[in-house]
Parts: sequence; structure tokens; C-alpha cells
Amino acid sequence: MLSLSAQLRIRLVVLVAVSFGVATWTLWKGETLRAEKDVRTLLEINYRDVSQGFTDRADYQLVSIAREIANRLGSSGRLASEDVAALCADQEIAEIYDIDTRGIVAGGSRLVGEKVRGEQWSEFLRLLDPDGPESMSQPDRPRTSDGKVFKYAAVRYPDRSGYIEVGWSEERFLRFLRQRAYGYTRSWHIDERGFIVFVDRDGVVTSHADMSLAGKTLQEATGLDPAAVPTGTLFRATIAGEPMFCYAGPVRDYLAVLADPVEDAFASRDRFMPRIAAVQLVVFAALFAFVSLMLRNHVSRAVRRIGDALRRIAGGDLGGRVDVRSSLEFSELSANINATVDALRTAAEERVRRFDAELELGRTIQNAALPSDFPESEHVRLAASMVPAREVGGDFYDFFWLDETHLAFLVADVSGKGVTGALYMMTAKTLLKDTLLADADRDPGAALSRVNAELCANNPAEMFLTAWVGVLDLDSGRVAFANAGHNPPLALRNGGAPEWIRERSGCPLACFEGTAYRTRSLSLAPGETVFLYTDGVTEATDASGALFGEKRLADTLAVADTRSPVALNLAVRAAVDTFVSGAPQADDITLLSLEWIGAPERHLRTFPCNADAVAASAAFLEETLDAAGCPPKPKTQLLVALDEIVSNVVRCSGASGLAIEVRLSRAPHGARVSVSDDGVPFDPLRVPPPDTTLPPDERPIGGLGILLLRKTMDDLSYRRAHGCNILSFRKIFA
Amino acid sequence: MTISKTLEGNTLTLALEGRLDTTTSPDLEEALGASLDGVTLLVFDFTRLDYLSSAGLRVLLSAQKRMNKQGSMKLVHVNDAVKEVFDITGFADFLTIE
Repeated sequence: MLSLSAQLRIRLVVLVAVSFGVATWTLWKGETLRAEKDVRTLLEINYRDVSQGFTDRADYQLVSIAREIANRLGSSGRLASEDVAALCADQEIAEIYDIDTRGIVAGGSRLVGEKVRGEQWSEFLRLLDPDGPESMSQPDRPRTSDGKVFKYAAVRYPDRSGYIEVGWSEERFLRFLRQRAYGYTRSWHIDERGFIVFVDRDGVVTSHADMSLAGKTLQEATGLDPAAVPTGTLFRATIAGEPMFCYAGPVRDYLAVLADPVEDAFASRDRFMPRIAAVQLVVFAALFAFVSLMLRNHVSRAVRRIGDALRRIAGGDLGGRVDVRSSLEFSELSANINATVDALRTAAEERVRRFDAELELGRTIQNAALPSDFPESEHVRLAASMVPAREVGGDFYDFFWLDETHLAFLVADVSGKGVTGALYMMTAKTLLKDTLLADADRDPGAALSRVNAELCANNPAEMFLTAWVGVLDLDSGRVAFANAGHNPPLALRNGGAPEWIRERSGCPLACFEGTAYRTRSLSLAPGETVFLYTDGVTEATDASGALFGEKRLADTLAVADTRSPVALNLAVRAAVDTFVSGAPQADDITLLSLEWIGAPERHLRTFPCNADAVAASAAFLEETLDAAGCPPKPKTQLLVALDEIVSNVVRCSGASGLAIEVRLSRAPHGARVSVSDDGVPFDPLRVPPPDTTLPPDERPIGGLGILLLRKTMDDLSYRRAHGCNILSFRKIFA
Repeated sequence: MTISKTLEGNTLTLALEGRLDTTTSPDLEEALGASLDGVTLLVFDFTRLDYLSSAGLRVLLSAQKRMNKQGSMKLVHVNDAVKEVFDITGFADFLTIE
């Protein structure tokens, strides 16, 4: 396909060529019409001259005769009657008259002594006027007296004593004309080569530039038919083989045919037209060049710039602008394109925003589900963090107390993203927590087996997750764990290199129904740490595509300045950030560090379940609290709480014995008291709270003890395990 | 816990010292049961009472119900720990505490 520029140029060439043709043709036509008009005028003038000159000659002849007679008589006296006939014969005239100053015919052919009268003769009386002409002549015309055609002329006597009037009869006049007609126009040239042909009423040529043709018919001489020759108008004819402009008209009894060669008439046109055409050709060529240049500059360039801008936009640069302002149309086109691109960009951004909003919602759910109130204990320290990636994700961590001495902690990675992934993560997290809390043996493997069964039973999205779940026994430092396809954690030993915990329990959760996950264990010495993470750490990628990997992770942990969980997490995070150095984060990065500081201070005493147990247990608690430096108010509250629980157990449980365990902590300074009994299962926390607004007469007594515990204790929990009710409450002293 | 009883006309004042809990509240219950006949104003002096548990509350509620029928009852010199218990349990709404 031709470029716009080429197409426009072709059209321009056609336009310029047509314009040139029209202009040249118009000029040619104009020149032709002008030349025809000129030749017509020329022929008309010549016709007038030839017509006039033909009879003027007769007047001149007749006046000459009269003058000669007047001159002759003027010296010898008046015309004598006897001289008239001789004079007439001599001068070949029909009549002669001598008119005196009074206008009386003094002598002549007729009417001697009479006064000049009649319209025809009276005209000559003007010769008697002192200011009148010296001579006069009249055209031939019929006389009033006898109707004969005569032609008269008169000349004044030189001494002004009257005038001589002479007349030709019609025959004489016609004879003169015949003589005159012969060869009259033989040397009459129109321009250079034009000529006039005289033809008599018989169609015989009397005069021609070529007198050898005289006596031939007009037909023979020129090819024209005298009867068919148009008169008073310009016409073309070919005479003697040459195209001629012709004009014909009557002269007395003759026909004058004037001819001028067409070639001569158009000589000027034919000479100048090529030059004019050449000049026009130059002008139009210049015009073409100019317009073509303008097209290239203003149109082609603008179109090319718009094309370039559109290519950039099509290439994905929606921020690109088209800014061609060389004309109103291109400005408008630019504005329209920009408006379209803006609309496109807005739509694209809207889609990105929606996508982002979904991811953001997923992240919000994900983040909101993560606990941030890390356990405050001087026996265990835990820190965890999750940095979500932009798109892929689904990591979570969790930790919660199973009882006073067992802390569950876990890290998991769901194979999903956005809202769906987040909801699945919520489900999995809730299931894991509920199942672990419900497991009397605090067995992570058993819990995972149940969670897996539950997840497999209802998994339309076919998602799965890896998880590492541990349960720390605060008293022993033993960690029971189960690993469902998750990355191996590291144990940071005192004075040793980080140790990979590679034991696994089974495949990821929600993959295969009926998978049984085995519980494994590791032991921590006081001050040792377990470090959990997700594959976002080991699979963090730098710009060249290299992975962070397990070795870098182990090295980072080995050289960490401090074993504090928060510091460890920060060190790993910093190492990963340095490694990827700005490359986008592909997956969530989750870190969890748990340090076992050591076993808590424990005081345990058992009592037989009888009425003495209330006082005995109170004494044991008071003794323990006093030794721990407990202030009076919390001590009072703890004693009231113990009184409520133990009295209830003694009164209602049917237990054989009960155990009181007191755990003291220094940071924060507080105590946790657990009361265990082997009586009938009973959860006092499920008793509905009493209505404390009733008047005394309507008040049931009961439930007030638990109400007091709820209001005064910092933490309160019940669980049933190993055939015992275990109620535990905690008070922070400060 | 020790209970000091003072009867002046129809006013019985009981000064409690120690803890009014599950162990000791039966003692108070017993002390009241024998002494309230003809009493129109029962005063508990809690100046030396360390704390009370819900068992003590039950005794106080019982005493209040009885005194509503034959006169009035009030508690004096109540310490913060005990006052807190009355507040939590709603007893402060109907007990007269000075």
C-alpha cells in the first residue's frame, strides 16, 4: 500500500496537471477568440474602406471634371449655350450647368434662366455661402423631375462668382464603376497576405490580387459559391488550399469577398502560446513542489508523529501523550487520542485497583488473624512476624497456651492467595487451634491427623497447606512437634551450630484423606531456641534469580549477635532484604522464634478432699505468696478465689483429692494457681452469671464465687484432662 | 476469725476480725442465729475484716433478709477489698454501708 504522502502527491500531480491543462486551454481559447475578433474587425474595416473607396472614386472623378470646367470658364467667362454639347461630349458627362451667385441657372443643358430648385440641386447652393465648401458631390439618385437616376457634383468658381454643376447619367456612372471594379483591389492587401475579391452580379471575378483570375467565376477562382456566401459575418473557407477567414459584403452591384489566411490571424497566438505554456509549466511545477513540501512538513510529519506516539501507547506506555498541534485538525485528533488513552488508562488502573483491593482484603484478613500479643513469661520468649508478598501468599503463624505449662506454636503456608486463600487460611488456623486445644494429650501429630481429615472432607478449591506445629512443655523444655510437609526448622543450641530439625510427620495437610501424622520431639536446654519460617525465606530470589537457600539461613542464625527471638527475626529479615536487594518479594515471609528460658518456679501440694482442704489449701497459698513477696490486695483476691474454687470442689465434686499448683513469675510479677480434682466433670465457667441487680429477697445464692474470680483475676481457664477438672487462674501483682 | 458481739438495747453490733470465708462463715451464721431476736438494728463493724468470699456474702444476704423484717442493718468501716466484693456482686445496691 502506498504511503499517505505518496497518495497525496499522486493526487496533487493529477490536480496540477489538470489545472495546467485547463489554464493553458483557457488561454489558448481566449487567444483564439481574440484573434478571431481581431481578424473580423480587420476584415470589417477593410470592407468598409473598400466599399467607401469604390464610390468615392466616382465622386472624385466627377468633382475633377467640374473643377476643370470651372477653372477653364473662370478665366474666359460664363458658359455659353453653344459650348454645352461639346463640353459634355468632351468630358463624357450628361449635363452641365452654370449657376450664378444668385442661384440662377446662367447657362447649361436645361432650365437656363431659372432659379435653382428641387431638393437635389438646392443642396449645391451651399457653395454660394462664403463659408461653404469649395466642391460637393452627391450619390446617384433618381431625379424628382423625371425619375431618371443621375449623379451630380459641383465646384465653385475660383472667383466665387457661382459654381459649375455637372452630372453623370446612370449608364455613364455604371460604366465608371465597371471600369473601376476591374482590378480595383488587385493591390489591396489585408495584413500581408490577405486579399479582396470583387465579383459582379453574374458571379464573375472583376478584381483579385491575382488578376489572372479576373473573368473567371468566383467558384473557379476561390471555390466559393457566390449565392451561398454569407454576408456581414466572419466565416472560414479554404481558398487555393489555404484556410482563410473570410468576410463578404455587397459593394453597389458587386460582391466583395475579403480573405485573410487563418495562419496569419493566429500568428501571434501560435507564436506566444508555447512560451506562455512554458511559463505556466514552470509556475505549476513550483506550485506542486511547494504544496508537496507543505504536505510533507505539515501532514506527513504530523501523521508520522501521531503514529509514533500510538506505537508507544500500543507498546504499553499508557502515560504517553500525542501532542501534534500543527493544525486545528491534528490538535483535535491529538486531543481525541489522548482522551481515549486516558479512558483506557483509567479502566486499566481501575482493574489493577480492584485486583489490589482483593489482595488487600486477603492481606487484611490474613494479618487480622495473626496474634500479636506475644506470651509474657520469664520462661519462654516468642516473636513472630509475617511480611505479605504482593500477590502470592497465605502464610500464617499462631501460638496459644494449651494450659499453664504448654505453649502451642505453629507456622503454616496455604497454597492460595487473595480472599479465597485468606479464608482458607482462617479455616485452617481455627481448625488447628480448636483441635489442639481440644486434645487432652496435647499431641500435635494427633491434632494434625484430625485437622487433615476435616480439611480433606470439604475442600472444593483443592487447596492444601504445609504446617509445622510444636507444643512446648514449659517445665521440661521438650517440644513435641509434627511437620506436615513444611520447611525444616532450626534449633539454635547453646554453643553449637544451628541444627536442622528435618524429621517429618507426613505430607502437607488437605492432600490425602486418612494420613496419620506422627508426633516427634526435640529437647531444648534452657536458653535454646527453635526457629520456624516459611519458604518465602529460603526461596527469596535476588535479581539474578539465585535463591536465599538454607545455607544462608543457617549462617545468618549462626552469627546472630543475640538469641532474643525479636533480634533473630530481625537479623534474618535483614539478611533476606540485603540478599534480594530490591527485587520484588515473591512470597510471604513468615518467621517465628521461640526461646525456652527455663522451667518456672512451681509449688505443688495435694490435699485429701475434705472440709479441712479449704483452710489447708488457703494456708499453703498464703505461705507461698508471702514467700514470693505478694502485696496484700492481690494476695487477698487470690485467697478469695482459691476459697471459692476449693469450697466448691469439696462441696460438690465428690473428688477423692485435689492438687494446688502455684507458679510464680517475676516478669511480670504474678502467680498462676491451678486447682485440679478427680471429681465429676464440671466446668464452673459455664455457669451463667447471676443477676446482680435483683433485690435481696429475690436473689439466688450461688454463682457469686465465679463472678468474683472473673472480675478480680487476670486470666481464668478450665479444662478437663486425664480424668481431672483443672481450673486455673492468674493474677499479676503489680 | 473472731467475732465480738455487743448488745446495747435493741442494737446488736458484730465486730469481725480476720477472714469471712467458707471456713469461717458458718461461725458467723451460728452467732447471728441465736442473737437476732428483738434486735431492731444490726451493725457489722468490718474494721478488722481482711476479706470475705461468697460464703460470707451468703450469710450477709441472709441477715439482711431477716433484718428487713424486724428493723435495719448496716455495715461500718468497710475496707477497699471488701467494698470491691460488694461492688462486683451488686450487694452494694442493697446493703447500707457507712
